[in-house]
Amino acid sequence: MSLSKLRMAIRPCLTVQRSALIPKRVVSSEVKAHEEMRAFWEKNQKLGRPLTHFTTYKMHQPMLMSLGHRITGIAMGVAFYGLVIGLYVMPGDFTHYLDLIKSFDLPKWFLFPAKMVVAFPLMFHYMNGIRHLSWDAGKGVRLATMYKTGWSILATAIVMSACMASLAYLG
Amino acid sequence: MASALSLAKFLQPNRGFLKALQPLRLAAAASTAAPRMKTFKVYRWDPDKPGDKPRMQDYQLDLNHTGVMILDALIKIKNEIDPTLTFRRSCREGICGSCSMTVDGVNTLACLCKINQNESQTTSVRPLPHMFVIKDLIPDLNNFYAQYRWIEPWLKKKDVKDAEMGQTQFMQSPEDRDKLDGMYECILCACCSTSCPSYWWNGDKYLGPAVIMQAYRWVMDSRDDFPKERMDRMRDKWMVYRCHTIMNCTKTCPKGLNPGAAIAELKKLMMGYESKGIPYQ
Repeated sequence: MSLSKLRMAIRPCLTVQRSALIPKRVVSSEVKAHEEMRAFWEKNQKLGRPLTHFTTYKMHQPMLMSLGHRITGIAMGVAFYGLVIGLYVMPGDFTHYLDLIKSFDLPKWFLFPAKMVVAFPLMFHYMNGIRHLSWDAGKGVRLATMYKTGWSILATAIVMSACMASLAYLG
Repeated sequence: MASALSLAKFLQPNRGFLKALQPLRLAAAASTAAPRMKTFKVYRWDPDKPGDKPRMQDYQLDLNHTGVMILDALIKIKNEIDPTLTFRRSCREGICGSCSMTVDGVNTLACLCKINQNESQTTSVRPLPHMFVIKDLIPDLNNFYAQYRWIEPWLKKKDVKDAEMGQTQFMQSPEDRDKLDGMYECILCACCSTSCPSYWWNGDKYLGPAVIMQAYRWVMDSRDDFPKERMDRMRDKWMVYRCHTIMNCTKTCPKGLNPGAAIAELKKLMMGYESKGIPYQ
C-alpha cells in the first residue's frame, strides 16, 4: 500500500498540456480541470487520507484470464531470453545440453508435467492473445461472450498442451 | 365529497394506507419467524479523530426487519445502531450514482445490490477501491470529476455564436440518436473506473472507463462539430491506451453498460481503422 502511495507522490500530475491543439474558447475548461486535479492530489496528501485497498477486490474469470495472460507472457519472455542468452554465454551448444538431459534418463511420469509447464503457457497465451486481438477489433466484447470465450480458451489450452506434453509417451 | 377524497388519498399506494400497514406487516413477519441476525462488516475511518486507523466494524441486523438492498441495511444501521456511520445516498433507485461502494469485493450501487440472504455469511461494505477516503464509505471523487470536465462533456458547435444559442434546435436522425444508446445512460457512479487496475496505478494520467466512454459518447454525437479535436486531445499513451482490456469495467457496471466495448470502438476510431460516418479521415 505504501508503494502505491509512493508512486502517486512522485508522479507529476497528468501529462503536458497541449493547448496548442485546442481552440481558444475551450482552454479555460482545460486549465480548470488541470487545477482541480492538482488540488486533488495535494489535498489528499496533505490531509493524509487513507487509501482504500485494491487487494479486497474479488477476482473473477475475465480478470484472472487477463492476469494469467500477463504472467504467462512475462514468464515466457524471461524463459526465452534466459535460454538464448544462457546458451550463448555457456560453453557447449544446444545439442550438448539436450544430450545431457537425455542422459539423466528422467522417468516418464516426470516428463509429462514438466512438458505441461512449458506447453500450457504457450497455448494459453497464444489463444488468449487471439481473443485480445478480436477485442481490439471490437468483436466479442459482450460480457456473456467474454465468459464463453474465456472458458473455451482455458479448456482448449489445457487439452492442446496435454496433447503436446503426451508426445513424451510416443516412441 | 371531501371525505371521499380523503379516503381516496388514504387508499392511494405509497400514502397513508401503506404507511399504516407497514408496522402490521413487519410485526407479522417478526412474529412468524425467528430473528435472522446477519453480520455486516463496514469500513470505518474518522478524519476528526487524530491518528485514527481504518478498521472494519461489525453490525448485526435482523434480516426480518431489514429491507432487501444493501442501502436499506446501511440506512437501518445509521438510524438505529450508529448515527456516526457516513455514506452518500440520494435516489435509492440507481439513477443518481451516489451510493457506489464495494460490497463483498465488487463495485456496485448499494441501492441496486441485494443483501445476500444467507445469514451465516458476513457481508463486507467498503469504499471504492484504491481511492482516498474522506470519511467511512465516502471516497474523494474530485479527480474523477476533473477528468470528466477535461473531456468537455457538452455539445460544441463551430458556426453558432453565443448570442444564437438556444434559438434553433439541432436536429438529429433517429439512426444517429441510436448511436448514443448504451452510453448516455451512464450515471458517473465511478464503479467501473475504480474497478480498473490501470486506473488504480495511473489514475492521474489514464482517464478511466467511465470518462472514456463519455468522451466517445460526445465523439459519436452527430450534432457535435469537434469529433476530430476531441480525439486529438486524447492522443497519447496514457489517456485512452492505458486500457488493456481487462474488462473489469464491463463486469462491474451496475447499470449493465459496456464501457469496455466503448473504449474498443474509440480506439478503432482513433487508430483510423474505422470512420463510423464521422468526417474525420
